[in-house]
Amino acid sequence: MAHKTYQYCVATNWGKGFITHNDAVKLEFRSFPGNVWRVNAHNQDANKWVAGVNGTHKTLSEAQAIVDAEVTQAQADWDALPADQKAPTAGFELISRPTDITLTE
Amino acid sequence: MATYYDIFGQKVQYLSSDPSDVQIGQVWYNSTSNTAKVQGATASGVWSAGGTYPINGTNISGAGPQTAAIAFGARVYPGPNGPTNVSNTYDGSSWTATPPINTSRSNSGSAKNGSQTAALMIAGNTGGGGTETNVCEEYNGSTWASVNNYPVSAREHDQGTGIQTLALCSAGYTGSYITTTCTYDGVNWTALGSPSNMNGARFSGTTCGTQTAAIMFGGTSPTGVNVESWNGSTWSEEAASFNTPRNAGGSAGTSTNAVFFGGEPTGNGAATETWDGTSFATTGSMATPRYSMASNGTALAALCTGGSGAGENTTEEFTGAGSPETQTITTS
Repeated sequence: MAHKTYQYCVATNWGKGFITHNDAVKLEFRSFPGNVWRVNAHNQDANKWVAGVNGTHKTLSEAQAIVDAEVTQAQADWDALPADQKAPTAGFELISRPTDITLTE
Repeated sequence: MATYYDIFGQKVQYLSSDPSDVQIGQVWYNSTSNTAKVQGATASGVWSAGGTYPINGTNISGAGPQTAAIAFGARVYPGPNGPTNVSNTYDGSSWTATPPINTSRSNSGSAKNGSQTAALMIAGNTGGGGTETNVCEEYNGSTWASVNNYPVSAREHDQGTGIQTLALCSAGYTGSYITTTCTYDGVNWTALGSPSNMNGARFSGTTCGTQTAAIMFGGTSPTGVNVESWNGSTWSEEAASFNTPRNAGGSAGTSTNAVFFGGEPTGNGAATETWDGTSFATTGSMATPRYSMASNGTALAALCTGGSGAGENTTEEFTGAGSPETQTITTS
């Protein structure tokens, strides 16, 4: 079985203190749509952080399903925008169409 | 074995609370927490969570230091999807509403070294899509007031810098990309013209520094990796390009000591790089990839507010490498 680099959880970012400076020094954080958070796997500090933010652990497939649902909704919202409010090309100054996200462990 | 006294000629202080005025390398014992502490320095740049911004805001503008900042305007998305007149100040922990700006808009420039009592909002656009404006406003800590118009009606994103009475704003989008460079003396705007125009017309760049020494990272077009520096009279293309191509990022610092972060495509939107006036170095990434955020502060203490991606109402605080940091001494 492949060694996991990351684990996933769902947690609501309440703002200041959600990720402290000390957390950031020790761990690698990445957020995804749907309040999905990726942190280091097999790491006591990461496990403490998940518990401390009242996070709910998710498997890769569970996290992926949450992200997919959020991205699909965001894409539908973007598609419904008037044409002049969409980005005609990547890098344009308007809001770009949300892209699919593939999570990895 | 040598003791601390043998090495430093001083005893370890026994204190009930951490001292406020400490030097890097200083050691003390906190009798309340029963921990030995040392004043160290951060080894690399890291981002931590800041206070939640009151609205979802992209194409938002900001100014001021990390612990005394102001943010204003924005396109509210997801949500009503339109320009807003919301303005808020930040104390390093939470945001507090201020009186609103007079003309709702997004994509404005800002004198990003300004303050909560001296901010400047530059041009922007008043719709989710088109309709550029040349309206400018100043905040004095109590009210936003209209001031002389920007020389062109343009979206300026994060391409302004300086302070309220010595501001710089360059390039932008007026229906097409422009190279115009403008300065503000606290009363009047001046469009400088040749040879002060930027070399590459662009939008979605990010500028930091002062009216006489600034740097702009990226932008669309030309390529998204271009860097130009400003010496007070002309822009020069820098030889260096940043490592992760992206547009619509944020920046903070000076022309020779800056941090450049975020941008799109969103796959590159967490990237953070430092700039020393010659080259870029990758440092700790943001937790939430984003673009079109407000950016301000310094290279050692930057603030990223809102933006598009998954972080429209979140903020992140950057602490640069070498920043003072109180560390607890442990054994293992």
